[in-house]
Amino acid sequence: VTDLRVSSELVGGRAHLTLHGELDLSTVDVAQTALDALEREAGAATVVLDLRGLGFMDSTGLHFVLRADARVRDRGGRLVIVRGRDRVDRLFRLALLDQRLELLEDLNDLGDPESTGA
Amino acid sequence: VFPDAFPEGDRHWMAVLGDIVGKGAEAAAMIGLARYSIRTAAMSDVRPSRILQTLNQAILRQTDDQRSCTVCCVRLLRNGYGARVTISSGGHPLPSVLRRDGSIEAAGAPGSIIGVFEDAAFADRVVDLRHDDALVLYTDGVTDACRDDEAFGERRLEDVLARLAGADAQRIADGVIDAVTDFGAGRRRDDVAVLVMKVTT
Repeated sequence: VTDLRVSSELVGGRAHLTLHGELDLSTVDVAQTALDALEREAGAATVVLDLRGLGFMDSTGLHFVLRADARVRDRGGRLVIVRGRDRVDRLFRLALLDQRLELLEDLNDLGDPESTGA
Repeated sequence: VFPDAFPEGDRHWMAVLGDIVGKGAEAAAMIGLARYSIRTAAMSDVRPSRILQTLNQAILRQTDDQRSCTVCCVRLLRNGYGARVTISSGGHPLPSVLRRDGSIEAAGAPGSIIGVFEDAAFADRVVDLRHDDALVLYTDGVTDACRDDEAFGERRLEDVLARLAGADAQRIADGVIDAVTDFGAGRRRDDVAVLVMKVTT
């Protein structure tokens, strides 16, 4: 059994979802539920998905990120992903998603929350 | 996971390794759609990048739930000294070329994950195989196999392959599977599949 811990918070106008542990078929529902709840509550223009705490992610996880990006975009928002470890990041590169998604090395690259918030 | 290999016309062989996101009935239906689409596409154009493009369109049109998959598609053309291989990847781990002398090269170039984007991009890369060289396709279940917090990884895969240089295709495939199974001590995270092609005289 794999383990995923999810924490969410609102910082300035941004909604942050931070994942720790392993994102795969057995844990993706946990991430999805947390994202759904965050979206319902916050409806922030910018959603930050922080992958730095992930030790593992598989293609199910990649699919979760893609769906999240599509959904946030559909309502006119923006999904920003903080890149994970190389093992996680490799998945994005193999699928050429580094050219399609907004991926940051560091949360500081996002700048001041107020300037990007809703 | 779906592997496939079939002759196309008199000259070409096609080999495919695909990995579906998710499991269960929907994944099974997707395998059917993918295999059928690839075989049909190959009849009109044998370029792997074109086949993946057609597959991408087929999945976008025929499924409603943003189903996605990763596929590595390879065309082999036998020639005087071995085979010319054309490789295209749609979000799939890039295959390895295992040379007779034990050296290893990654082959192919990354391409879009399949079934998600209208404007997906795929590239063809050519590599020549000589007698006793092998081309090894694998799913990410191989490199993601886990012991405690450590992944099997590409380095270990290369080490295992290097020791199997010159072996026949079956032994190479068995060798990789055995190494992954030993490493993970039976705990399998994802489907593990290996497809090996080898030029023999």
